[in-house]
Amino acid sequence: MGKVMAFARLDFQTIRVYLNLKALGIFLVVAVAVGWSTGSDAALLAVPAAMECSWATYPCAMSEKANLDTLYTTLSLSRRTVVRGRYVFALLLVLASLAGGYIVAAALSLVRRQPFEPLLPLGELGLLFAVFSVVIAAQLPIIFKLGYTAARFLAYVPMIGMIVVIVGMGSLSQQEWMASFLTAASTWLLSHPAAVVAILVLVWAAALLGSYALSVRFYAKRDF
Amino acid sequence: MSDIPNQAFELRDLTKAYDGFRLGPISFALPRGYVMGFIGPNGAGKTTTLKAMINVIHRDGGEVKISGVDSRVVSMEEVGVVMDTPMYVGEWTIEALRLAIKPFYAQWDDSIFTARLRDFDLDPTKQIKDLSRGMGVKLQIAVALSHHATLLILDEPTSGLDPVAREEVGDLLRQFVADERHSVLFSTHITSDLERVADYITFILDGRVVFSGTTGDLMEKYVRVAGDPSDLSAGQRDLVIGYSSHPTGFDGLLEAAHRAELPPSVLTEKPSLDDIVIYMNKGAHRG
Repeated sequence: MGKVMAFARLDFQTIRVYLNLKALGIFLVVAVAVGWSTGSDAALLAVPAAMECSWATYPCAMSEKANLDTLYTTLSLSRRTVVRGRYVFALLLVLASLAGGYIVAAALSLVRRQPFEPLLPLGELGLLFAVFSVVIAAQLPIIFKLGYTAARFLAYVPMIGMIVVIVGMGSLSQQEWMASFLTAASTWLLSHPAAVVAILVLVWAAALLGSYALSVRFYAKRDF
Repeated sequence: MSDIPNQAFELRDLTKAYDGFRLGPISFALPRGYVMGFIGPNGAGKTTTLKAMINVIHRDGGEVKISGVDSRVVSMEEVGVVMDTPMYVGEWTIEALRLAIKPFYAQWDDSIFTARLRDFDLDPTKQIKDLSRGMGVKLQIAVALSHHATLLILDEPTSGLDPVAREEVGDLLRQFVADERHSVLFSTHITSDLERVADYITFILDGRVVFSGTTGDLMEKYVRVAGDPSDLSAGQRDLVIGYSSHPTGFDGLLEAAHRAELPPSVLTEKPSLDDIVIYMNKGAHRG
């Protein structure tokens, strides 16, 4: 585990120069603007986290640009360690951005003199972490297979796909049959919260493990 | 008796195929304590070989041993790799590089790194993207020395350097092998760099090793020949490697062992490494 965490730290150092005050400023402006205009904690947390998703794959871009895959070999890092470390880094980055959004949400409530429910956004935070980590999990195997430059546009497909699904669900919910299905589903879900959490955790874990297994297989075959 | 293997590295029947290019099977080895120049024209397979040695690319077949251990499992702490451009983030300062890579080397020595930076006139606050090519090579050598590498593998380190910088790199390599446990494998297509530095030469052409041995043996193995084309029969001409005729005569390379088979009127002289590479390359691609 020591080498995996050391690699995640190396990934952070790789993009650290870009995580400057300007980047932090953009993050804060977007978070505050979204939170203020929508009044929604979920939106406040989600939009900056979506921005961070692109940062999560940025070490892959830097690896390609600066020939870091050769460096990793000279550092006695196995390919499996590189993949594992990159997943850890990506998940920690999403977690950090959501935590940042959580702090902004709390601060914004204070400024607007609105009540802040500490536990409610935590649930949203957990759900958003799951969603965004799955988006990254969908992107990383493509990048490990093709390299960042070749996979750059393809890797956005999962994120675009997620948006399409959300928008599609929104318009479908206007349909009577869908509305009644959603009502029934909501009723069931609300009456079985533990099962819902278990299913979500299982789906999330399966997505991440499947993605990791593919990435290990793809990266192991690459020549640099 | 020392438990350190006598050979710094050994390649046995190494192969790697790409679309349109096939390396090997190639075999060569370097005794510990020496510098080997790895020469050949561009596209001969030098970089492919070096990358296969450090597992940046996968070999299709054969064996690579470093200090007697399969290169796929050997600790890279023993190996210092110097690429033609540094494999570091351009925006890192040299100090940031130290902090980034130090945790991965059990034997990293900050005092050596600091001393080498001072020796090489490298400012720790300077960004890597602002280093000249020569400074980039020196930085990578400083890193290798700081984790106590015993084998340096350098890919075209002098390419694009001016003569003064090339001389400095040559001096660094000579200093490195002053310690008899240290060895260097140094690929280049600028063969003049090697005549002063290399104890051994491996010459690769079209993915095949055409010579591997001491520099002295290579230089003695061939002679440069020149003369009047009419002095040579067709059979004698076939002995001349890279035979080239021009209005003032012919020239080429000959295995010294065949000298007696050519008429005395043919002039012979000691070839340079460049001559050997050029004529061998011509010979391989003729007809």
